[in-house]
Amino acid sequence: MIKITNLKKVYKNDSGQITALDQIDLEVKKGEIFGIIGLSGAGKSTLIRCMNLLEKPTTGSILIDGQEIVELQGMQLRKLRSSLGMIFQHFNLLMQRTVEGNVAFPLEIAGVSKKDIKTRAIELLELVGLSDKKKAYPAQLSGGQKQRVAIARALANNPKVLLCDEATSALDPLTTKSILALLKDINIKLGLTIVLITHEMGVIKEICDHVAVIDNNHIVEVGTVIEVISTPASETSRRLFGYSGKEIPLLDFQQEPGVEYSIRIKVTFTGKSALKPVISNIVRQYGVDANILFGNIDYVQGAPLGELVLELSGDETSVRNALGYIKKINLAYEVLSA
Amino acid sequence: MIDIKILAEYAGLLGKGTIDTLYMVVLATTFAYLFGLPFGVILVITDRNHVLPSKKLNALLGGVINVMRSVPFIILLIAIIPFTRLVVGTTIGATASVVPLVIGAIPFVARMVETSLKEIDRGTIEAAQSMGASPWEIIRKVMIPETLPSIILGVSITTITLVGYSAMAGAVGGGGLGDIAIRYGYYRYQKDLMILTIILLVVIVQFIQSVGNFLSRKIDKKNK
Repeated sequence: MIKITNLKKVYKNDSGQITALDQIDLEVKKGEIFGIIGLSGAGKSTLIRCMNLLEKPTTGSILIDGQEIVELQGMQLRKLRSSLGMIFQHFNLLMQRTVEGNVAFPLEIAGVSKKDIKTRAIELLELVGLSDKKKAYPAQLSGGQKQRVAIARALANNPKVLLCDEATSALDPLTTKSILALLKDINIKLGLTIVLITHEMGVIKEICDHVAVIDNNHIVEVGTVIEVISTPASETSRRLFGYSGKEIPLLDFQQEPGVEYSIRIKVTFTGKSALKPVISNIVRQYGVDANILFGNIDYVQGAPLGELVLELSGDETSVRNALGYIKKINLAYEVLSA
Repeated sequence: MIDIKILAEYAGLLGKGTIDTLYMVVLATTFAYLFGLPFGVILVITDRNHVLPSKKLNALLGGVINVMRSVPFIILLIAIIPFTRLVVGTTIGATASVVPLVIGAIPFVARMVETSLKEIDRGTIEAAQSMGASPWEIIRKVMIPETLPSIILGVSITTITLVGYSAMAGAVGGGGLGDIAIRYGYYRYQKDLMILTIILLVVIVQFIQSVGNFLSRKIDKKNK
């Protein structure tokens, strides 16, 4: 659906050049929800704005549905933009138009007849659950309702892709959840491809299929959300998604005297493995002691993702055998200290 | 004692003066916006990072406006007499005053409109762009409607400024209340008439401002 190759964006100002994006390669598949996460200033906003040329890339290629877009201008550019919906952090609604008028705006631009605009607007407001507010003005709505209007507006011309620029960052956690549910619903109902950027890992966990982690103007990691969260390959992902082990406050943990050998490991459970009685098996079969230092369970799109920091102690061979067992049953673990 | 005859004479004089003033001011404001509004729009859209950036056009238009605004109105009034004659065939009377009033007000209006249009949030324009709106659609369907309450306040400020200018035009035979204040009040020492004229002007200014405020508030949906 969207294929970005070697994208680069450099801003020029009086004091020189600032590279906002460099060596960006990305592929978004049709019908998926693709998340781009990064901290402020990482370049994620620039990246999503390149996808509809609100920012013009300095070099590189962006293919949308096989069409190269970076050189588009005038009429062709406007045509492309009308086939991509976009929603924003601050909603950017027309304050002097009613809710219905806001939804009608992109249809007016597309040259839809007055009668069809009316029917379509009602249809869209029904989709986002705001039928009763069609005569209201944006100033009378809550943040969540405003974003719903913005979503209805973005969907008006049946876009191929919906771009979400920090769409939930200005909303409270509950409203965020309801907006994410709406996006997911639209994604399934309409088969719409969604690209979203965010700095909140909750958003990624809740609805994304794939995630790209962006840091310091580069993409440092791309993968399925489960992969990136359970086995983060980059330091940035570890920082964004979880406990790197070092951050768990274990430092003043004293080893018991008289123990021959001990090792601290972090085990990550995903999917079905989360349900297996691993610890009791280790204790019974290998005769090692297992001490739980830290535990956490997260849900990624409804699937459990567990994290456990254990201290295994006993004689060295038994501990090693126990580690072998963990590996055998396909659990990911990481040795924190021996 | 108040003389009924004098009062009637004053009433007739002031009535005609008021009508002349309103005629000049309303006509001048209308024409000033006809020309000034597009200039204000151009000033905004040719700015950096706006929908049709053009450094040259922006600098040129801005420069011309600044020069025009620097010329004192009383000088402009006299300097463009030949042009006024060309347009309306005479240089005396209310209609003739409209020409310099319009010329004087255009750059003022352009700046008023510019200030109003700049109130719009950058994101709102971006949203329209992201939906495929053309620059013309953005001007017509986003920038002007979204800032209309502010533009209307600008209209009332412009109209009031023109009430003041029209008094100056009166000084060189332009008619209206300013003309009366100078001819009767200043040259003939008829203080009572001068004071009445000023009271009328105060009432007119108050009225215009109130109407402007009312309309602006009435159509603004931003704070409701």
